[in-house]
Amino acid sequence: MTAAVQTSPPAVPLRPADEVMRLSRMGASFPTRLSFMRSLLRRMHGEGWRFEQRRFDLDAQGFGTVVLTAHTPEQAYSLVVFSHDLPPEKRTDRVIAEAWDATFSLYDGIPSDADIARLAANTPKQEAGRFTSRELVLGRANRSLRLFSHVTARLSAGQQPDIGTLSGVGYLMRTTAVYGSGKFGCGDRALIADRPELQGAFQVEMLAVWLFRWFTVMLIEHLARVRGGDSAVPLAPEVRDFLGVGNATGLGMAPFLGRHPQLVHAWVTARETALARVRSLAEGADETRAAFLRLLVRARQHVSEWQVDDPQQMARIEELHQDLARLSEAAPGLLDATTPWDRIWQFGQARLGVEAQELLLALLLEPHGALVDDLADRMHVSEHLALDPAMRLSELRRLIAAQQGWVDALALDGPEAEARFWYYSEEKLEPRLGHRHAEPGGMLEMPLAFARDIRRLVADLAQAEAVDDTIVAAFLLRHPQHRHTVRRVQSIAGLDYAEVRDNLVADGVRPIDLLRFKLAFFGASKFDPKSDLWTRITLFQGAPQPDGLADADPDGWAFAIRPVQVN
Amino acid sequence: MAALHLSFGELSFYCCRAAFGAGLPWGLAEDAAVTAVWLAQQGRDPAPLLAVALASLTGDAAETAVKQEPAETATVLMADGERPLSALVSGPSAADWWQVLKQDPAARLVVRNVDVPGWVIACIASRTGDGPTGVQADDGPGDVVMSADGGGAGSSGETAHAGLVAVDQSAWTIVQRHFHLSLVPSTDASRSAGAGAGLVDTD
Repeated sequence: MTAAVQTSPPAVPLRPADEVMRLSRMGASFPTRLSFMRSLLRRMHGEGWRFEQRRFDLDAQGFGTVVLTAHTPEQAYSLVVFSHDLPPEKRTDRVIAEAWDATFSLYDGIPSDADIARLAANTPKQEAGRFTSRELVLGRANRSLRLFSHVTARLSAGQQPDIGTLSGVGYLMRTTAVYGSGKFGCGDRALIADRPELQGAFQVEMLAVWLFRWFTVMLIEHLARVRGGDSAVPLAPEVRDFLGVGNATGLGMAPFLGRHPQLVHAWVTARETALARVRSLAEGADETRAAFLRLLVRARQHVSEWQVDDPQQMARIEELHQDLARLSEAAPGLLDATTPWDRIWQFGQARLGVEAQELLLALLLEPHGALVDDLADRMHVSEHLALDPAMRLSELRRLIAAQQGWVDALALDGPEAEARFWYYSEEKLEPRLGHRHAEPGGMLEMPLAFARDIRRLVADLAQAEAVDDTIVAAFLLRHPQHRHTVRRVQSIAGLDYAEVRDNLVADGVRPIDLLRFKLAFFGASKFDPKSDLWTRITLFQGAPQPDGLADADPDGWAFAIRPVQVN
Repeated sequence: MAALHLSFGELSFYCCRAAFGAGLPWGLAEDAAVTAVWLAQQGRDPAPLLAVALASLTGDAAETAVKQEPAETATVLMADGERPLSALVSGPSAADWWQVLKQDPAARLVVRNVDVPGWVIACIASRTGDGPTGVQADDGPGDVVMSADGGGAGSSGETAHAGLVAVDQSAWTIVQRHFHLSLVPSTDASRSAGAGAGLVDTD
C-alpha cells in the first residue's frame, strides 16, 4: 500500500517522553496496528494457522467442556474451556470472586483425556488450582446476561439479534482475569519465549482470549439450537465478527508497568518510531490518502457508537467526536501538499484535544503497514534489571539529573503528594489503592512511588557524595532502602520511555490512565470506565473468527463499526 | 514431607514478597528472589535456606546493619552488632563487592559470621558465577571467603532444571508465612473501595 520498509532513522524526531509518558496522555491511548492483537492476527493469517474444534461436550444448559485447538506450522495450542452453572449471588467481576460462568486453560499441545480430567479438577478453581508447565494461560469469564438472553432468544426464533442491543454491550462474555507466565504452576514465559509465534508481548494470552471469543459464539449458537430446534439460525457472519470478548480490568495492571520499565520503553519506542516514520514521508500516495480518509469516516462512526455511563469519559468522547469532525474538514486540504502526514499531525497538535491526537496517531499508522509493521517485532525485550556496584556516586547523580529531571517538575512535598499507596490485600491478593493517612498498611506498599523515591535517593546521594565520592556498593551498604531505586535508575539508562513521568501516589491519581495505556497496547477498544480504579473494555471486536481468518483481511477490523441489521 | 512444584515465576513472586514481609527493603527483597530462582535453575531447592534466613530475620536472631571493616589483606563485611549477620541483607552486598573486587587478582572478600552462609554464596554466584574458597557451613553461622586466586566455580553456568522447582513443603510453609506478612489485612472499608466494588453484574 505504501513505501517499502524503512531502515534509516526517520527525519522527524520521536515525541519526547515528557509529553508521551504523562498520565493525562497515557489515559487517552488508542490501539494501533502495532497492538498485540493486531500483530497476532497478522502472524496467524500469514502463517496459515489452522483451527479446529476437538471437543464439544455441552449439555442443554450449555454446561460442559469444549476444546479448541490452534495449529501453527510447528506447534499446537489448545484452549480447554469449562462452562459452569453460576449462581446469581456469586456473579462479580472482582478478583475476589470464587465462581464464574466459564473457566479456561490454554494447553501447550493437544491435551489427552487425562489432561482434560486433570484440568477439570483444577481450572474451575482458578487461583486455588495447581497447574503444570503444559498450561500457558489460566482465565475465567462471566456472561453478559442481558445480551446472552437476547441473542439466545432471537437466534432460537430464527432471527438475528438486534444490532442496537448488541452494540450496546459488544460481547457475549467478558473475561475477569487472564493469567500467564508461571502463575499457579503454569509454564513460565521463559519456556516459550524462543518460539517465534510467542515472542511478542502477551501473544499467548491474546491467543487464549481470541479462542475463547470463538467459544462464546459456539456456546450461544448451541443454546439457540437447544431452545429453537429446527427454527434456530446461527449468527450471521458479520454479526459473529462484530462480537468481541469483554474484559474487566482493575489495579493489577499498574504494578506490571512498574516492574517492566524496559518492556514499556520497547512498546512506546516502537509506536513512536512508527509515527515518526509516517510523519517523515515527503509525499502521500493517492491510494494511501484515500485509505486514510476512508478510515477517518469509519473512526468517526466508531466513536459515535462508543457509549459509556461514566460522565467524564462520555464528555471526552463527545469532544473527540467534535474534534474528528474538524479533522475531517481539514484533512483533504492538508493531505494535498508535501509532507502531508506531518501536516495533518501538526494540525492535530494545534487544533485537537489529547484523545483526538492519540486517535490520529492510530489513524496515521493504519494505512502504512508496509512502513511500520516490522516494528511489532521490536516490542519484546529480554529484560534484565542489573545493578552496577562500581559506579561512582557522582556519576549516578549525573545519570539521575539527565534522565530523571522530570521529577523536579512534580509537586512532591506535603501529605497530598503521597496520599495513596498501592498494595496487595490479604483477600485473594487483590491489588488495592489505599489512603495512606487514613488506612493502615502504608509500610507494605508496592514500589510504585518512583518520583518520591528518586527525590529521597538524590537527597541521600548529595549528603554521601559531599563526604566521599565513593561507589554504589559502599553507598548501598549504608542505605539499603535505595537499592531498588538505584538498580532501576541504572537499568533504564538511555531508555526515555521506561517511566511514567507522574506521581503515582499523589492524591487524585487515576489508575484508569495506566490501565488504558496498557490495554491500548493489547489492542483493546471501547474503554468503559466504571470508576477511577477499573474499566471494562472490548477485545477483538470486528476481528475475524478462527474459522474465517484464512479468507479475511487480518488488518481489516480497525475501528470496528456495527453491521447493518440482518434479519 | 512431600514436595510442592512451583514455576520459577511463582518462586520469584513469593520469595520477593516473603523477604519484603520479613522487613527487608524492596531492593534486597528483589535480590532474594533472584537468588532463589538461580538456585532453582541449578536444580536446588531454595526453600530450606531461605526459610532459615527469613526465620532468623524475623526471630530477631540476625543483625541487619552491615559494616565494612578496613583490613590490609581483604575487604571484610561484618555485622554491626553481636548477633550473626543476616544473609538476606549481606548476600546482595557481598555480591556487589565481589563484582567490584574480583578484577584484582589479589582480591579477597570475607563475610564474617553470617547466619546462612549458603545463601550468601548463592547470591555471589548468581551475580558473578564464582564460588567461595572457604565456608564453614551452609545453613549455620559461619564465614564466607572469596578469593580471586583460588575461588571455586559457583555453578556450571547451565540451567540444570528449567521451568519447575520442587520445594520442601515444611520450608515452603515458613516462606509462605513471611509472604503473608507482606499483605495488608482486608477491612470492610478497603473491600468496599476496591476495584469492581458496588457494581451488580447483571448487564
